[in-house]
Formats: sequence, structure tokens, C-alpha cells
Amino acid sequence: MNPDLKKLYQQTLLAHSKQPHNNCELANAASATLRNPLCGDEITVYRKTDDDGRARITFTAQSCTICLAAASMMTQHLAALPNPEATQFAKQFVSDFQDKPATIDLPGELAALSGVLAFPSRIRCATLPFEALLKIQAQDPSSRI
Amino acid sequence: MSKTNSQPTPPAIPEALAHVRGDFPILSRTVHGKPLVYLDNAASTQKPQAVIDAVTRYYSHENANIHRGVHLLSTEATGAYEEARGKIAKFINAADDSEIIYTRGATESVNLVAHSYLEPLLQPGDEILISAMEHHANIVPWQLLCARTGAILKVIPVTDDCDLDLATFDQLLTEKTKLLSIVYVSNAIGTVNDIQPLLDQAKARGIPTLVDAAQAIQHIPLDVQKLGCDFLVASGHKIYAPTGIGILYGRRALLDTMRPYQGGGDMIAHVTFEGSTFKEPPSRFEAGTPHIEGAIGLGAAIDYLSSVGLPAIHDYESQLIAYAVAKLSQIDGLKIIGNPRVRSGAISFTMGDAHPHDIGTVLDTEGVAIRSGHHCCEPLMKRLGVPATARASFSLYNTPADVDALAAALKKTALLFL
Repeated sequence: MNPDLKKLYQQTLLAHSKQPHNNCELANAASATLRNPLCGDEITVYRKTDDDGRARITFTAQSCTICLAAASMMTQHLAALPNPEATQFAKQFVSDFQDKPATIDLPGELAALSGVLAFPSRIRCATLPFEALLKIQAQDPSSRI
Repeated sequence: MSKTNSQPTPPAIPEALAHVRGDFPILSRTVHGKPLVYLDNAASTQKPQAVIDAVTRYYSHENANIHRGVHLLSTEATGAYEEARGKIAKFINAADDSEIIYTRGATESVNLVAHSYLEPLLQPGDEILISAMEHHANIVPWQLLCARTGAILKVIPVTDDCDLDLATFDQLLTEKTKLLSIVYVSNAIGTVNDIQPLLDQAKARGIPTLVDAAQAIQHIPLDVQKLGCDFLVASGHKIYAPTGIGILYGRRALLDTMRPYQGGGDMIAHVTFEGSTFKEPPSRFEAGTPHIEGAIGLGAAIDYLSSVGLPAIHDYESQLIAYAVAKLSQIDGLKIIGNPRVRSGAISFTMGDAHPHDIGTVLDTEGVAIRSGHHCCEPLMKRLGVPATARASFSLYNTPADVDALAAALKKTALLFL
């Protein structure tokens, strides 16, 4: 198999796409939907802060493997981060990928997404969930991720 | 359950097409270290050396503006530009060269008809009839027009097999219908619509017609006089010509009644500050310096197609696509979307949970270029119950070996995702 392809579709990513975490609607949550006009993929990200102060992030999507895996990893990683680090992380994630660097350092399982750098037409697949999350905040600047 | 293993018989490449691959320089390149297998022809075709040479020759020897200078270069450029118009007219059997208007592509051609022909005629409540398998280019211009005029867009439904469902066609064609605009060959599914009876019926009731031939003109011999359509649109880059050039065929009697599309140089008869008068068709609709080298390249592409012979191309491509359907049908987990009575050009499919975009990426690493997505046909995708498909689309230079490479790459995809 092509080595770039092997890196792209590594087990971590495939495992997340086959059984994505937090793949459900979230009642009484703020939400935002984004669409990738290139392929028609669509994702809705939901976010709310529970009474105990913990953030919950979920998503529903009709999307490709990469977008599903990115969303799944995002919901886990960002819900665990305190604010405003979570917002900053999402912004940095989108901006880093948009710059199309040769390599990118990402924490934990998110590192599996670095494989998309070899496939520029697929970068948006990875950033779409993060962009949707940032859109929630853009819609309501007072909200915190 | 495993599908049948009996191997379909690949078609023989006829003598007329035996050497065409050598005419397309790009086909000898590699992609990700693999030989290029180009199966995205419905999106855009590759260019034969004859077209590349024609464009180069224009820039090397004839480059000048047209319809303006008295100098030799302008005369030669004008001659080449107008000669190409004549080739196109002959290719689709238009009654007169002036019935061919150069545009940027099929999309602009539809927009031109919307603006210059239909808009002045529409009253609120009038209807425009299209089908559920149209490309966005034959939907959105009419939606915008309806928004401007209060007209209503009506839609001929499609069957589960992705043929036109004509059960209600009689009722959809009413005294309020001001245009029937219908696709000949579906870019997304490959359905060849039996448009002749529809055009005949519309004509019998005095309803003007437009044929979207963007996916037909490179595969099926066209005769606009036999079809009896009032308008026909096509894009150059899908017929081996450069991008940015397309055509609108319009019946001259209608073109004569139409208002200009854009204002500017070359489309006027006379200009004063009190008002302007306009040239006859086709110049009335070609404001400004046009895509001269595109038109010349389109003429060269038509010469090339004619030299190979469209009937031979049509015959071979039909056999090739039947082979591809048979071959893909053998792949476990692969589902061909749509089962039209007659197919040309394209096969759309899905593979279990493998998203079409992921299929496209894996195939790309095998050197196989296909399209994934909604193919600018979102309403059709919704009707067929799929958000997106993978699509392989064929042209005269594709071979059974290309189909075999596609099938082999799809089997590798299945190993990864299924």
C-alpha cells in the first residue's frame, strides 16, 4: 500500500470512524452546522456545559472517514480541556492545517490526523468539525467551548 | 453472498480508436508512481495534441483581436475563430453558423437563455419544466429567474432506476409552461434520456425547448434539426477542447427576437449617448473580446472527433461501459447507483461504509482518477437516497485495461474499509 495512504488510514483513525465517540445529538445545547461544498459532507456539532461545569461536545455527521474520526477525537480532546485553551486549540488546529505545513505536532490520538497533510484535498475533512465548533462560538460570543 | 466470478469479456478496441491514446500526451504520465488511469471524463476530458497544437499555433502565429483590425494577424485570427464556429454548426447539424454562440460553457449558455430569451416573456405563475436529474447548471439559473419573475419551477420526477418518470409528463406540460429544459445524458448516473418524444410533445404544444447536451455531445451524434430543440448547450472542456469555451445553439428565429446578454464591444451596431443598436446574432450575444484560442481549440477538438468518427466512438464506449458495469458488479459490497435503460459515459457507485471521498483518495494512490461527491446534482442524490457517490466516467481513450485497473483498486479499497 502507498505509505502516505497507510499513514492516512491508520488504525487509530479507522477505529474512530467506525465507532465514533459522542456521535449523537445533545439536547438543550448550542449547535452549529457546516457543510463542505466540495463533497457535500455535513456535520453538526453540539456543545453545552453541564450543571457541574463540565463541557460536553457531541456531533452528528454525514461525512467521510477522516471527518468522522476528526470529530470523534475532537469531542474527546476538547471536552477535557479547560477554557480558554479549548477555543485556542481549535483555532490553532484549523489554522495549522490551512497552512499546509510538511509536518504537524498534535497531542494524543489527534496525531493520527497528520496523515491528511499528504492529501491537500482532504485537509478540510479534518478541520470541518473544529470549524463547526468555532462557529458555535462565533454565533454566540458569550458562550465558551 | 459472493457475487458471480464468471469474467465479462472485454471489448476489442476498433481500428478507428486503436491509436488514440498516443494522441493525448497527458496519458503517458504517472500519478503517485502509477500509470494514470483517467476516469473523470465527465468532469473534464484530456486534450489531444491536435488541440494543444491549435492553441499554440494561434499564440505563435495568429494572435490578435478579432473583428477589429485590418491587419493580417487580426484577419487570420478572425478567420480561425469563425471557421471554428462553422465546424461546430456542422458537427451538430445547425441550419446556419449564426446559430452557434460562443459562451464560457454550458452553464453560461443556460444563463444566457434565461436572461435574453425567457425572462422578458415570463409572467408570475408561468412555469419552467426541468427534471429531477438535472445538473445544478440546469436548476439554479431557473430558480434565480423564478425569484426575479414569480415564475414556478416544475420538476419531472425520476424512477428508482434513475430513468425519467414520465407518468405525469402530460400534466406537467401545461399552457403555463414557457420552457422545457431537459438533460440528454445525466452526468451523475449516466442515464441517456429518450428526449425525442419529449421534445416532439413540447413542440406540438408550442413550448420552446432546451437540451443540456454537456454529457452527450462527446458520446452521441447530435442533430439539432432532427431533435427539433430550440436551444442546446454544451461545454468545450468536456469534448477535448480548452476550458472556458462553450456553446449555445439557438434556433435563428428565436435568437433574432432575443435581447443582448451583456453589453460591450463587438455586439453593437451603433452607439450614441442617446442609445445603442445591436448586431445580428451571434455577435449580439458575444460582447467583448472572446475566448479566441478556446474557440479555435474547440474547432480543433471537433476536427479530431470527426477524424476518429463519433459513431465509432459511440459504439466502442457503449461496449466499454457495459464491460465496466459487468466488472464492477462483481465486486463484493459495491452497489451501482441507478440502473437506466440506456447508459452513456458514467457509472456511479457506493461501497458499503466506505465514503466516496475515501474511495477517491485510495484510488488516487493507485493512479486511478475518479470523482466523488454529489456531482453538482444534490436533488438527484437526495432522490436516490445517497449523500454522495463515487463516479467513474469514460471517454474514447479509455480501455478495458483501465476498467481492470479500476476494479483492482476498488478491491484494495474494500480491504481497507469493508
